Amino acid sequence: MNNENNHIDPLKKAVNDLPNAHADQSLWNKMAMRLDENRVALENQVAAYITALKTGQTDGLLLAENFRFKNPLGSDLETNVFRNLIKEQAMNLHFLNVETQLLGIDQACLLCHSKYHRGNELRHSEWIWLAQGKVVEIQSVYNASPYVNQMIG
Amino acid sequence: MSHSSDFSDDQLIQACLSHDRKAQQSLFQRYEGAMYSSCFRILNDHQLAEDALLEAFMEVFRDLASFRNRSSLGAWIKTIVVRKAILRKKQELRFINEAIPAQSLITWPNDLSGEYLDQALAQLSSGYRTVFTLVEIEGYTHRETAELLGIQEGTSKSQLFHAKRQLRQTLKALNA
Repeated sequence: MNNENNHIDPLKKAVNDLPNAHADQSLWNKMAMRLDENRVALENQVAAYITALKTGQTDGLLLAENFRFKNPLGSDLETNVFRNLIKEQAMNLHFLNVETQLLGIDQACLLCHSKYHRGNELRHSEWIWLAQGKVVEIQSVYNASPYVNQMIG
Repeated sequence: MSHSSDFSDDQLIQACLSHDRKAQQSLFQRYEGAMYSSCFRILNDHQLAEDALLEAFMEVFRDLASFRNRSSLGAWIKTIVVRKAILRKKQELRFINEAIPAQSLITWPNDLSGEYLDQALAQLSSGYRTVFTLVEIEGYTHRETAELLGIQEGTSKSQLFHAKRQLRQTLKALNA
């Protein structure tokens, strides 16, 4: 915190007495509307991704990349959607492509694109296992990377 | 869950993480007043302040699960809000490292009121007002202010001095 000399005490006092700026009374309604809009946008986006996966328009890495940069709402919804996406992906024909990427580039991580999950080989193994088409417990994978934790929460 | 003001931040956080809309509303309204004031003092425009606040709270609700109690919830939200407000103003914020004269003592009237200070603040240029708000009102250090604004620490100090000097002149004109 900032420390100033005694001579500005009257200023400090006035700062403490500053009136609050008055917000629009209906601000919460606007907030709720934004939350709703974002939820709908996320659901639409995810539906589009799943469709794209099923029809071979994209691959898992592209999907993860899109999800990473465009997801507008962090929530259980996101976590569940993400889990479903991974399952979709792993069960999809595209898992071979993912496997190549994972094993071929020095075990790069599908999610954070880092080469290693530092100090956590076990978690990374789970990713590889996943990439081989076996849908394992996804939740543990979330613990693999600080970035993933930040993204998923 | 009922959401009276009796509930702690932790209880509200847990309910918000379950997408309890009433909890989200309670959390929003618990901090709305103070956070809106912070936005407004940086942006000096009600519409911009409102947009910045809503955008900031979208981020708050999105990232709530990553809140780790390293600071108070209010302080965590404040940082997000302040960053959003600064981002809105970034294009027009100009900071010049002006010299601070040797005679840099600024005296303030003992009866200076918050109301007069508020009026004078509204007349400051964006750069001066932002630095004054961050340091004197929000309590950030010059180092923290410099990091938030992407300027040198010395520039923050210089801007604060000149902001105060201009404030003092404006207050004189207002007969405060």
